[in-house]
Amino acid sequence: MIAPRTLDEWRDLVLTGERFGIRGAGTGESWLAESDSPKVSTSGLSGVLEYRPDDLIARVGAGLELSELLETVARDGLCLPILRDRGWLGYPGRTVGGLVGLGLPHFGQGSVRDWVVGMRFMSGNGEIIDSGANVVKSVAGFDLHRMMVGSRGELGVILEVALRLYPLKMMPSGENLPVIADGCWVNRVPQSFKYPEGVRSPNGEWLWSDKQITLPPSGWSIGPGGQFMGVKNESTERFRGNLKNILDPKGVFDKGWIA
Amino acid sequence: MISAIGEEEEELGERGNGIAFEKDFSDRLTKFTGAGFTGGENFVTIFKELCSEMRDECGFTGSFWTFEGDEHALMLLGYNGGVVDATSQLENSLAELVGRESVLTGDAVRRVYSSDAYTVEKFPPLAVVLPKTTEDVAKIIRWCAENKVPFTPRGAGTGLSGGAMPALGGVVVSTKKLTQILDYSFEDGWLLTQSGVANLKISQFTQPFGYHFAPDPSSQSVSTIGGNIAMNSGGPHTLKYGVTAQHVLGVRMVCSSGEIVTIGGPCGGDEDLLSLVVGSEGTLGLVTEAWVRLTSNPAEVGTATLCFASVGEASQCVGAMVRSGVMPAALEMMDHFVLSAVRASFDLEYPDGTAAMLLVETDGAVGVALEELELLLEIGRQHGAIEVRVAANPFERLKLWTARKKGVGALGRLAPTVVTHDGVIPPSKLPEMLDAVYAIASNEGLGVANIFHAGDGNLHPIFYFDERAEGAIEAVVRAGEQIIEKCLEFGGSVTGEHGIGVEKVDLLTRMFSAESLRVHGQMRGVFEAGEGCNPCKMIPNAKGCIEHKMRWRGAAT
Repeated sequence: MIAPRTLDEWRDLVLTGERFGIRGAGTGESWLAESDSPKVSTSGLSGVLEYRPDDLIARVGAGLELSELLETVARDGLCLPILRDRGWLGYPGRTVGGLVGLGLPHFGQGSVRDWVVGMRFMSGNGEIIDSGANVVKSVAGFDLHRMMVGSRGELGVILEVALRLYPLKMMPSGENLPVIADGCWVNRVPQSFKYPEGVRSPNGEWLWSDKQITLPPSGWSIGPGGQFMGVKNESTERFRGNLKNILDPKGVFDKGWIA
Repeated sequence: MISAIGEEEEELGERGNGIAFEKDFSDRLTKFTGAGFTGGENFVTIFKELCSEMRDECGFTGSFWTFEGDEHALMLLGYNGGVVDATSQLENSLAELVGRESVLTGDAVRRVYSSDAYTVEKFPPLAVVLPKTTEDVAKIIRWCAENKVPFTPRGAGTGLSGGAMPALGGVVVSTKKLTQILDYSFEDGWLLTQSGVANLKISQFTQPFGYHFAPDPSSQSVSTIGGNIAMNSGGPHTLKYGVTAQHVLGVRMVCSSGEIVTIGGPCGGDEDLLSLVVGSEGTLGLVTEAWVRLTSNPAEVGTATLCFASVGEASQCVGAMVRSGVMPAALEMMDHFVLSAVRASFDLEYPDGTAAMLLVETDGAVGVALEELELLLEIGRQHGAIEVRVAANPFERLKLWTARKKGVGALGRLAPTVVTHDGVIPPSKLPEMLDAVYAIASNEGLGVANIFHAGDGNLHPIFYFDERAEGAIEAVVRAGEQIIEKCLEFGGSVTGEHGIGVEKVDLLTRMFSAESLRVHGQMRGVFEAGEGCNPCKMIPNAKGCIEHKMRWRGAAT
């Protein structure tokens, strides 16, 4: 599998105009990859680029393995709060780019979106785009880094991700799960979990869910990223089309899945 | 003929102190949707002649409106209809859509709505409209789109970067009458509200049921939820609970064509698009309704103040608290310049010799919050706190927070003019940064007070001065730029919560490459936002914004 290492290599690849899917480090199961287009690995984008435990910030390459990130920050008593030791979807061995690109919601703990504070990605035009900052708070420019969460490699190659970290000892323990809804920061998800969180394939088939699926009468479904989520309407679908046309007008990026 | 008109422009430019049009009419028609001029007595006559010439020579069939005031005449070019008189025509058109009582015009109105709380740059709108429903907003915005009239959304007008300034004139669409809470489910933790509802109203409404809306900007008693969404507002408690973006589940908005769109909803969804809308500063459309996330009230809250004999010790202590492993709900800092003003206004007590005060709050389960607070206070004592005071009851807590939230207002005691800045640094750089802030102010001969979100590294240096003093405004602008430079040098951001607006448009280029900014600017295209949709803000889209900038500044003096 091709694994470009430098920005120039990535740009050269993108500018060939040949369609490809992003395969991450290739360590995860590709349960959403459906096309035959060639896969490109992000394993060349590894490494901790900036790590400031005193400021609760880490900036890493998208190809960095999650386990490596978590081990590094745990030495300073920090963690990524959405990833708990629950064997959830087998995250260990997967990459930061995979976590962010897939953007799965996490039961009781909100989305990785809330912990992504900055990003650098490459568009289908070969542009290198920055958004956010390496600090916990910034409102300069559009939140493209939040927008890209769950984009599954369809809008660009995520190159670097800046993450906000959380003190390990503030994490509620597993036994407290039903209780933490009344606790502190995890209030960021609805209280009653009336609607199950889960993942649907593009053709509507449930791939995974946290609870037994009962579709609520309104037609709501909760899944990862934008396009599989929420009530679809013509306007938002059109906006997504616009977004794709702006960031990837030549259709270089295949419907993707990053692991 | 074009050259003859060119001469007239120049003549007008001298006489009217206006902005020179581009010479080529055809070019102008595609590029300008609106323009404002300061004119002399025969200003309107000249423009009417100009418009007739355009019609004869260039085949222009658009409309031409003037608005005559004591000092100003404004012109708008449209693409439909003939030559009309603006005052009555504009008012009539808008009144037909939403009722006469919802349309405000007149010199006093135009003056009041010519800026938000960032008063350095101003420009008057032609009219202000106060719709009561999403449908009415859609009617107004559709009318603006059809007539190529720029519009600017406005909430309470508390913005600190000029986001609600009607940069190219046109219509201000105020959310002041969109004040209904429409629906809620405490069980599922959401509430649907119109966007003109004040932030604090939501928490007041849900408090008895055990919930609140977590983002709490200091302006929360007046600032609207729509404004909070536009600027992605923060506040003291965003340290633990996240900024507005983390608390918005969905919006109903009117795009710049007048189309009503629903993005997300009570259970979330559409987070990708929502991520662009929150913090878009009204450049993508006007949010009329929002589903916000409710946060359950903590079972226990611990609040305390710690006084330090030096700013250095206090800021070192902030760093130590951030890395202590405890996440405070809030960690605020006030220096002695703020404290002296607050003492006078709010009866806040602190020991003599206090150079800086930290306000610390923890919350969580019973027993846990107070335990965490004690841990933080111990860190404070180790860093030389000369006094530690824990709020004994909710009344004392409220008193401490009042001092913090009204602190900026209290600074009015120090000098006739105060200007609040906003920048972000990594919290570990706080000691060096504060040294730099005091040094910069002293070099420029200005007074500076600091009251800010220390745990986030979100600074708010406030310059106080007398704007009548010669060179004072220039000194403040210079000092502000130096502070932002310093923030960037430390790896921070040009704004943490006040937004780009018009104030920091130029500063964005110091943070992002031209390539990045071009793509940021293209995000308007995702929502098909036209040039007239809050023009010249954040990432300017309309031609003419640069020329206009001179005028905004001019209007302020």
